[in-house]
Amino acid sequence: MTALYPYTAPRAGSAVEHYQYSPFHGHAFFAAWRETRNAPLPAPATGTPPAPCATERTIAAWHEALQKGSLDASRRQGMDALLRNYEAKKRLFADYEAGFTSKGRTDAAPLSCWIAFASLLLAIAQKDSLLPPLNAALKLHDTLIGRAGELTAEEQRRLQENLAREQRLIETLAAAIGVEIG
Amino acid sequence: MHALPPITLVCAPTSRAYAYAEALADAGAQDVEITCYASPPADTPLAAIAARMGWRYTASDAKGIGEVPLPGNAAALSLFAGLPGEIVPAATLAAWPPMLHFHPGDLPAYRGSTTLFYALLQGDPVTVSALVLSPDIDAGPVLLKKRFAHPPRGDALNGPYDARIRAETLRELMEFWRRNGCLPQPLNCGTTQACMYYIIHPLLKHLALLRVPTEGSQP
Repeated sequence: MTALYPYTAPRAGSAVEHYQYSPFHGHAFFAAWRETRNAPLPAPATGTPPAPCATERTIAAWHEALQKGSLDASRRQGMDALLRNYEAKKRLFADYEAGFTSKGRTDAAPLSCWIAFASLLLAIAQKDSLLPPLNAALKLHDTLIGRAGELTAEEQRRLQENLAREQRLIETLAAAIGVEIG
Repeated sequence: MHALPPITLVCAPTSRAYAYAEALADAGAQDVEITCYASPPADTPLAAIAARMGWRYTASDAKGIGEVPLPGNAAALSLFAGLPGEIVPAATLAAWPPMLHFHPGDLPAYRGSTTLFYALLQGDPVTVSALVLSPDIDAGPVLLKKRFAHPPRGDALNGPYDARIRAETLRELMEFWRRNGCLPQPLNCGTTQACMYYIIHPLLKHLALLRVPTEGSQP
């Protein structure tokens, strides 16, 4: 977290970042973003991570299908619904009702699921050059950086891999539209 | 020339609502009721515009449009300028006169939130779509589209520019009514694959704003 880039600040309780009306800081903002992505992570958590939740298993299946070719219409619909729910709530749940609705649910997904979702979104953004998946991955990463002390060493490794991919995608996008990001 | 129909502007006290009210005044609207919710201040410019134009004005403590009572006039149209990110409940849409909305994106390609920035980022023209709201987000019939020159580079776009381009599109829609005595027929927007956009991350927003040409390009 920096003064120009407050989005990775840990948030208490149920507070979430909504990103509404974010201020404009000019080119200096890009350096502030990079600083949060390249900063050393805190010491990892110890202990055994929980088994993958239902949502993470679904995400893993989608990712596998994507790596073999593409998401079929049904999986794509599910993916879009999960993305919609995440963008509305800025949370992931361990399981969902039909159509990835979550009314009344309180079973937060473990952070491993957040990393898996961000990884899938980056893969879709790279494959299809779509902005909404990249947009959501940036938000997921902000939260994960703020909670990096809760991640195991293996989860931190996966997060850092994601962050490197995120930076490459942003660099490619910036180059394509002629914006110097340093 | 035709007289404009009775219109209810149902709104939160925002710069967009003020811009809409001024656009209605400029267009010569006479039978207007402004219902302002979300506890507007007593000295809101909306009340001043209503007093100046001889329109009815009602302030409400309702927290969202779903709690606002139906308008008292026999409005033929309603015009929505809500709180940031506010979605009109289906029951409200069913009860109110056809509700106009001015969306800063080229529909159906740009549905959802902060689409102005996504269009800039993808090199597309700045476009406002005038539509009649339906329960599905940004999926109602599109009546008119208007293109605008790109904003100045580095303009934060959150306030005046956004309000101005939406209000200018409202003004054009009202001009159509004055010429024809009705709203335009819905446009045939084709079968473009719709994409839903969500509140833009600040990083993508910076890329969008810094991509804008230094000199405003023409629509």
